[in-house]
Amino acid sequence: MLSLKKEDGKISLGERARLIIHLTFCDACRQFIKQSDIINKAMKQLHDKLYKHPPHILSAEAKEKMQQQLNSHL
Amino acid sequence: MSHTNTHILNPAQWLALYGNYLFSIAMIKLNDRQLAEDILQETFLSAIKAAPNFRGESSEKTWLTTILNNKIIDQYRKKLVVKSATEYISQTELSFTQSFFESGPGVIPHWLEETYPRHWGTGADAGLNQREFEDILNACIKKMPDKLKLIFMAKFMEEETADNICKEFDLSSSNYWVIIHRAKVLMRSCLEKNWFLK
Repeated sequence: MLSLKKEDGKISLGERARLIIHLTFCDACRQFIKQSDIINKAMKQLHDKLYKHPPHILSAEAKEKMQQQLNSHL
Repeated sequence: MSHTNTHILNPAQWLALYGNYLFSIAMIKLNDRQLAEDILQETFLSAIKAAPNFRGESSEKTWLTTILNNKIIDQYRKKLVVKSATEYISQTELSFTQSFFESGPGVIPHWLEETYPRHWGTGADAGLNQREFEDILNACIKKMPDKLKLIFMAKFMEEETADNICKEFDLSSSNYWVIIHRAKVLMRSCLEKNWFLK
């Protein structure tokens, strides 16, 4: 959990010291941190794609219906 | 000095410009086509009503996304038995901790042998066939418990600040960290099982 706080820049000095010491001998947690970063990047990529290549497309009927509804309120 | 905002907002174009984008967000979060369509519809109608109050502080896209996300949160509140975060965390604490971490009197919880993070292959062989990886990422998002999912998405996909998230979801700061931590642990574990160690 401390590593996540550090990612966010919200770690205290004391917590940071404990974290660094722990990481010198804990491979599992070093992996967690690396992987946590991979997840961050992947989620960001997912977000960036949402607008340019939306994974879900409205059906033609749904779009039609929505546009009509919208138009009637404009 | 009055001017209308119609030159900033362009409702006639909303569907064409943002329809699939907003629909995709709703689909990922709700996983229900009909519901996503309904909520999108409501979003546009609410947006038209709110249009006179739009002050151009954010972009049109961001503004619409916020309206959509608020409606999705409302939907979750209706759907779930409304539990406070504190209640949820304490009720699931034991099973979560026991699944992932070793603990005991005087022991600082640390990874169990079965669950400690392995090395993920990196470089050419991890290949990260982009499409396949995304499918698995999306599948793992779907699997996440509802309570964690929205917050996880808000933080890691939409990159909202901790303060905003705490406000939107009515979380204390310590609950926030517990939830973020749990979501990350679950996501990491799911990815490892399904992708990196296959």
